[in-house]
Amino acid sequence: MENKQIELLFKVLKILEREGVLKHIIVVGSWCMFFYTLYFQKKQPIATLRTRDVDFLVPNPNYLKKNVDLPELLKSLGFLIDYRGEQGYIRLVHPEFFLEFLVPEKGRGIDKAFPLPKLGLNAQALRFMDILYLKTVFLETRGIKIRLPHPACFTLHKIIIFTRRPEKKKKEKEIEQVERMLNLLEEENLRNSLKRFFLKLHPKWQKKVINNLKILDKNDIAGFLQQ
Amino acid sequence: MAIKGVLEEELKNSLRLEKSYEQALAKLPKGSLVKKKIKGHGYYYLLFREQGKVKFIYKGKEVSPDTIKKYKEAKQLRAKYRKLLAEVKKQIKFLKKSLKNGK
Repeated sequence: MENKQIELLFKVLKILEREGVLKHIIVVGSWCMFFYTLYFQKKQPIATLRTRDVDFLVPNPNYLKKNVDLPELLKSLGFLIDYRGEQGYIRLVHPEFFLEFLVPEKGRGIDKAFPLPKLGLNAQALRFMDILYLKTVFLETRGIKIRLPHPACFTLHKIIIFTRRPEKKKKEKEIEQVERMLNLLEEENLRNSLKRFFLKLHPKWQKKVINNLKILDKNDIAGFLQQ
Repeated sequence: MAIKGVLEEELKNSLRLEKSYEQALAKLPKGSLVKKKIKGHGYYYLLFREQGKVKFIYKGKEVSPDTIKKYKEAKQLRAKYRKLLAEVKKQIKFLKKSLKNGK
């Protein structure tokens, strides 16, 4: 099943590249860990557990200039439109995975789906997304360039959001990902990057990171960031 | 425990997906457009099954290219959706079994 899933994901990414959309998006969510495995050329996957949600962050929706009807383009691959929740967030669904679009929430936030008319769908506006594009990295594979959050930014984001998960099981999954990412940063000598991006965060968010690390008993890392 | 959470979430997603494919299949135009050759002339018929019987509905000597395209696309999508629906059903069975065994 996994190979089929990965093949289909690359088909979708190639379509996005062909249509000039890929350069405007950042792959976020648990699939990042799959791509980090490729980025760091790890023999073993960084994380084996992930859901079928593939999250695409559009940091600057205004940069999308070309009209691309994504639901129509992906219809031939078997994707259907699924409307979620009261706000009607659009998700493109397929048995192998689901595509969701996200945008950073600005100001007081909005209580409805954020329209992405250039792509023929909408997105969910979420807090703390800004952290994910403080710095991004590019993975070049199979002839395409995939933009990912810098692993240290991805980790800081996970550290902040795990306490915001109301569901216990989702929280556990987030914690597991924090653990794996912290190990990865250690293995790849990226601890200093964690500190570099931590210092760029708003003081309130920095406080959140420290508190959450303490909840996870990661006092050594909390101490390192505060030095 | 994180695994159980993921499985539960995936089951919820698959059940939703099953419903979506069933709805999408129901929305597709029924039947296939076929061209029959009778005494050297071509005639279009809409072919479909109803209560176990194959039915032909005469559509005329000519049909618009848009109609031909519509039924051709519907045929391709129907095959695709049926295949994917079968996959989803398999996933549901697997996920239910996994959750039951993990209790």
